[in-house]
Amino acid sequence: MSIITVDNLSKHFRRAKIKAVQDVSFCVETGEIFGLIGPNGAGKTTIMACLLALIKPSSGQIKIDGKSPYDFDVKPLIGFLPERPCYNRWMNIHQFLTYHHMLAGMPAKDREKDIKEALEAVELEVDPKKRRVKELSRGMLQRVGLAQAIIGKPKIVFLDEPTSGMDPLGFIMIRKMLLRFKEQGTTAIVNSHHLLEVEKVCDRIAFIRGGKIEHLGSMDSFALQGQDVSLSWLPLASKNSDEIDVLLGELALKHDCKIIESTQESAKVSSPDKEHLAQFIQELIANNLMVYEAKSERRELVDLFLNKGENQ
Amino acid sequence: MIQPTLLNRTLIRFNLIEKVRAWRVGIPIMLFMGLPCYMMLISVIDSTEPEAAAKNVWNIFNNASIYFLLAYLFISDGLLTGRPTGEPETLNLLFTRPITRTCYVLSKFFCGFVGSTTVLSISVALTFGVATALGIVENPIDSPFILSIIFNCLSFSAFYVFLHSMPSLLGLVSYLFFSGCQTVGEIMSIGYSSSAPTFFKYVKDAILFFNYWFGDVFPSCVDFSLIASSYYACTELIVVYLSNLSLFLFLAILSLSIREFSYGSD
Repeated sequence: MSIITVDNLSKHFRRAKIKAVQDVSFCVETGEIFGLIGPNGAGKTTIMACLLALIKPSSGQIKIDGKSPYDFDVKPLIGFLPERPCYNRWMNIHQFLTYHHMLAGMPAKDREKDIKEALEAVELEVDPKKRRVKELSRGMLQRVGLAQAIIGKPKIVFLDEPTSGMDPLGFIMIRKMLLRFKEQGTTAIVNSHHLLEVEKVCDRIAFIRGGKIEHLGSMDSFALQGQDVSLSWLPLASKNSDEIDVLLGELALKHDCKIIESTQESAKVSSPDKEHLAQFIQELIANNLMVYEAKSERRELVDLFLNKGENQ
Repeated sequence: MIQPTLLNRTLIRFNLIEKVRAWRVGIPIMLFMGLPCYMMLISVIDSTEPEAAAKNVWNIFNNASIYFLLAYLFISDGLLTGRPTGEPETLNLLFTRPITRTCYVLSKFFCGFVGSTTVLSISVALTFGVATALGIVENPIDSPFILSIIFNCLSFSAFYVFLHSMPSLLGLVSYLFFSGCQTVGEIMSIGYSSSAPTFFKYVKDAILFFNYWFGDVFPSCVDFSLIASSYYACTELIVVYLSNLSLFLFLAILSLSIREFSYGSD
């Protein structure tokens, strides 16, 4: 069941004459970890701000749990970690978490327990009553922000660049937290540039570029968008390396493949899909290249990210 | 299920209690409480006419800047954060919580009003105590005096909430515009001469025009002791006062409602 549905969402900033988001549609299932990825200026943060009712869409419709994001009943369902740590700097950590616990409408009798649990979840080991928010490092601020996002026990968590300023231990903590969300059935929308964390944890991702969704689907479907293969063949006495390069080039062109690198006895080939790759290998064999090994390499998300960027 | 309310107890607690515990706000508040009685003490002791000196000290409670500063202390986080406009960016996060923008404005207004009224009430009590101990017989504490303090706290809190709810630059421009319309307009209206050079005449006319239309918007201290004698002036003042109060609160809610909180760098 979809907990978030976005239909034809568009946002134009008239003064800046920017079409930040154009006709974006997607839905997020309950308990799903959904990733929004894309280069800077793609429109990810604008989409998140529209979902949080911080900015008004120019057109389109958003439903969170069947209601408008502006609906008062939606607010207790959500927790939000902003990209920039825009927190009340004068408060100490305990005051800050108390403030958000109260704002979230949580019962006062659970306050101390909830604050303790939130701080344990983000692995922040400081005295919350002695450290002020303004004295914290970027990584610690991020942990406090995460604690704030989960303090109201939300059903949906919006995380904008959760690993920003984090050390490797922080990355692991975020991953553990996202996995815990999965176990608890909490829905999470993750906006991130750190693709490795997205790849390992997200159920589905939306690749956004120029305000449009270029790809939407599971991690596997995303990986199948392209196929990289390392091919090896027996050394040939009849063809020199230049002739092999020419042959590879011609066949690659014919079958929409791309030669990433090549030697006299091997090549790394990128193809748009399995069919093109199979035809490419078949023709190599037909041209007396005795292929004895074809190793499929699953493309890393980062490669796809870069390729999508390059192709535009 | 949480229901929308007109006042938010979290905002009230943090603006009226937690904030005052911080020395950056606590010390100025103590000063506001103690300064009039200290002035009473030194003025009366040092004066040959103690009754007249005491009367001058009581006039402090009719000073617009005191009300404005007190409203600022209780409404804005500026003094705590070291940023004059406070931390407007914290609103991004706040409005993802179950709190309406109307509730935010009214809660801030309530904090400004209750905070400044409390501080001034304590200050008046302390000053009265010192004056009585020094043998001053005449004191202005009567119903119009107390009403004036309450009305001034209300109007300056509403005005500051209005400035606080606007985007930082617009808030500053509004403050300068309305205060300019009032003060510069009043200065210009004195000694207006038709024989002035043409350019200056036009400038004067323009300033007087703004003074006529907007001069009453910037709150000035209401003194019920003075206006109680005149029914017409009293009615007019109360109408202007109430319309300004509602206008500030309405504009504050409107400003926050139409504002977009774009928080990202993308």
